[in-house]
Amino acid sequence: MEINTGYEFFSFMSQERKVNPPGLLISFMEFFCPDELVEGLLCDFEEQFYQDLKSKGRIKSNVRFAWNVVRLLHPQILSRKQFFKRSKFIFMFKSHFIVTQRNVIRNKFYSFINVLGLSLAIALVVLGVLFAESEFSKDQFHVNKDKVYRIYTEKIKKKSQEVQFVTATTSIPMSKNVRAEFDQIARYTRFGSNSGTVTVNNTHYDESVHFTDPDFFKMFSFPVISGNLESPLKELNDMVLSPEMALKYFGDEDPIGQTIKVSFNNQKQDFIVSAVVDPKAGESSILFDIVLHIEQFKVVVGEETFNSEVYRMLDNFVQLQEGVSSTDLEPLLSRSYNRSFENEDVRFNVRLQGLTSMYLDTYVPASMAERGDPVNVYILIGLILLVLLIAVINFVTLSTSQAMKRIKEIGVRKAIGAGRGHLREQLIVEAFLITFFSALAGVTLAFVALPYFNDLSESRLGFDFSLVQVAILIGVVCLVAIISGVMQSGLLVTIRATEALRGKLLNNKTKTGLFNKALMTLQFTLSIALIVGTVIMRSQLHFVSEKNLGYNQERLIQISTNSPEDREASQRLLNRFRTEMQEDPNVLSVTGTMNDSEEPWTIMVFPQEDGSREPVYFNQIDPDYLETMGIDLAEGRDFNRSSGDAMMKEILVNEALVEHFGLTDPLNQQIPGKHFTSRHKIIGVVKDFHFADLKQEVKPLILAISSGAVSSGSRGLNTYRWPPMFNKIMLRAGPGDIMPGIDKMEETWAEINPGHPFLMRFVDDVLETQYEAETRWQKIIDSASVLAILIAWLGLLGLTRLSVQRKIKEIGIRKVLGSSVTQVVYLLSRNVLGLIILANLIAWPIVWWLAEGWLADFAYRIKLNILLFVVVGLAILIFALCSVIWQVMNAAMANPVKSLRYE
Amino acid sequence: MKKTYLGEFEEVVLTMVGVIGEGAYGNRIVEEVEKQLNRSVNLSAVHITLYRLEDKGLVSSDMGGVTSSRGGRRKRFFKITNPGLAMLKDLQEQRTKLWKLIPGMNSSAL
Repeated sequence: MEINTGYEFFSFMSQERKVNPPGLLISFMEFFCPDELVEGLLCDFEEQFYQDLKSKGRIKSNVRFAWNVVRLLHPQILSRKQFFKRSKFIFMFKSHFIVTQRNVIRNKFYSFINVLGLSLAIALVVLGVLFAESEFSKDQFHVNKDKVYRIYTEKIKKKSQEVQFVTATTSIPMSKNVRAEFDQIARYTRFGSNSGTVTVNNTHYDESVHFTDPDFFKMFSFPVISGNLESPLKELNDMVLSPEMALKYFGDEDPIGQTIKVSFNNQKQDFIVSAVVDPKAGESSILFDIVLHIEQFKVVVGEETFNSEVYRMLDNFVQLQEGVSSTDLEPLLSRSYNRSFENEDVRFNVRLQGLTSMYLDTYVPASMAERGDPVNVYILIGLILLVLLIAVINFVTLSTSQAMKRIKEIGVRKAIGAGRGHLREQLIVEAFLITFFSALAGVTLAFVALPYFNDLSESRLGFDFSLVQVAILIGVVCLVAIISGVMQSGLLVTIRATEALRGKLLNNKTKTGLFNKALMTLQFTLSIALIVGTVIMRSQLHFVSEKNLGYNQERLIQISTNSPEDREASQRLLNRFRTEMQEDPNVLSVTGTMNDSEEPWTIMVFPQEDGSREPVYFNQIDPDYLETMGIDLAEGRDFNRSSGDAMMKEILVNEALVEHFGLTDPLNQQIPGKHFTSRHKIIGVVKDFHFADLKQEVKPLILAISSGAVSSGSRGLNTYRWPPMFNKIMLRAGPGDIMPGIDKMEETWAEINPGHPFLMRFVDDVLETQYEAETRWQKIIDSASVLAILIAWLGLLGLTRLSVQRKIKEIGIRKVLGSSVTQVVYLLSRNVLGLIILANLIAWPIVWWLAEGWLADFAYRIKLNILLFVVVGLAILIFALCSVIWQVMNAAMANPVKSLRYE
Repeated sequence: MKKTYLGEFEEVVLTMVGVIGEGAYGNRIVEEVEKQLNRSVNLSAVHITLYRLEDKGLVSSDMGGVTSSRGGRRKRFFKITNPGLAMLKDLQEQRTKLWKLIPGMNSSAL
């Protein structure tokens, strides 16, 4: 009776206040609670709710009601719900799990191959995703990334409208001028570099120094680690260091406020470290070690160049105002820029390159910022997909072939009423479980291998398990599981129950057999393509590194002159060094040069009578240059010291220049050009030698003792080295041990050039570092290919072993009937032979076509040789046959009694 | 049959079902626990425990009569079964036995 009273009382309350428990929660309860319990539960919950309403208020009673509902999500309740109880979801999953487990344990060898292959592939996917992510996320961390652009120019021939030259190296006042002219530009900053000698606590270092505007640190979001956080380059003598440099110079000491001496052109200046800024905190293509105020660049390049719009020296960045579109601004910038070129036959398009797309933009050549190569990234992604595909094919072929052994299991399942859906579900769940465990193993493997991969690729990748990474990984797992599960089930569930129960084995003529053969052929095709591709890439890069450069890079030493104050000073230094060194019989010759192989050479632009502008490379040298470098003359003569001042007006040109200008008899002629006021004469033609990297052809070049010989005709300059002087001394060492000679050189250097470090390098080392990026990629691609081939080979082993096991009785009977071992081996390996030949025929044309496309980028390239294809094809064939025969031999040699007695 | 054991909370709930006797239902038990033991318990937790006890055969339940108010929801009433009573008795005996074994804690001292 009590109960009823309470009940009525509360119902009265509810009518009075019109407050009910949340309906959504009630529906939710009705959904997950077993029907037989819902009523009793709800009745109690509501009663408590209305009691609470009276004593505690609306919010608290709602909260308690909700909490009650949440607490009901308990196995004790859920497991009573028919939906979950009867659902095959949990029940069947358990069964699938057990069956999978049994299968894996029963077929340890095949499971091992599957899991190994898949986990290797997934580890590679993880590493590849990390790598690609870092390549694609370059410069994305800047707050202003969408408003910052780099200025680059396209040189257009007015007549043909053809783009002649694209460069992001622009003049020093460029961005300053456009900022002054256009309000759409909010900020500008320049970014240039030069080498300088840095002196800290009487120790000298030869460093690359960057110059920029104070706004650089406002435009870009590099984190200031210590020091002046607001404006790191406020004063003209402020200096910004990277953390590496701060550590190198000062160790544990606080670098802020310390004094560092830097000398350019032999002018020493004191700088005070104002901040430490980390360029490597995010993925940045703009890197620096030491940064100085842009005004200091004036000391390096001279007042005239600093204010000239013609000399291209550095990168210009602008930050646009909010809402200004770069495409609207470009025509305005171009119009303003072209005012000074109205009378010429070229015009320039001033373009803006978005900061975020700068790194992977192949259209604009690299300038001060690092540039990546999207082709390499795509090659890597392609390779990873191939490896994954090969692993999946292994998984599918092995599982289906192996499933023949499970044909009885399938028969029984069908006989007791399993539909195709159930069987498919079983296979997909099984595939999913195996993929899932492989993924776990793969991620662990990737985790372990990451430091080695970082070493190999010289990157600083790390796991951060970002949403993208996790999503890709889950995607890959699901894709692999579904593809392999669906493929297997598609083949197996079509088998009729009766046939399956009778244990009728599928032979090679059935759908499964054909399908497996197709997959195996695909696998062989991929392996052959990978090997041939890798070999072609290797031989091309080898060709490039071994190519005759036109000079002798062996035993050639370059010594940095550390920016002497002017040409005369560098000449004096060279002469003294030569005099001292010539006493050493091990030194064959010594010379000086303005440009060396480490940086792009100086370009002078010579306007022609017809209005065109001809860019020609220029180098200022000492008379012994050809002899020291080992460059051959095609015609004419070398410089001769005895000719005295006349030598200053003489120049040497290369064959490329003669050909470019179509000079029929170059000797004693002049370089064509309309502005030449002083006479100069070509005294000789040198054979082409490679002063730039081998992707480019040899361009026209002038070698002169003095830039004055040709400078009157020049109306434009693109250089890392100015003014012209000997920046490097080149020394040719004779045969024998080189090291004592180097000690002697260092002593001499300290004597004649005190206070300057002796910085020498072997030219062949320098050249090697130029191909570092290629070598690095080669290593990455090599490892991926090896992995792919290894996985494919594992699959081949597994499949052969399966087919041998299946035919064990056949072999026995054949042997009893008089077959020889050779005949049995032939019988079993015949199939593989046919598949490999077919795979070769498919792979060759595809690889040929791809390789031609890749090689087209190189100015000097190997010719594709069909022999290479044949050799690789044969090698694969022999290797595969050996693996097959190795497996078959055991079965063929075995006593037939053993295999036949089994039943 | 395996011997069944009771957790502390199960014991509280089972005892309360016994204490209330006729007409024990979820909310009533919550209130009773609060009143007798001065201990606040969650209604859902009580229900879950009641179903577990029912699975163990220590309580039985049936639906109450239909009422006209509020959509006519019925209450689920719980009743202690004989095995349930036996279990409580058993527990009590075990406890008294152990209690007496504690030195200096015999009934006379109480």
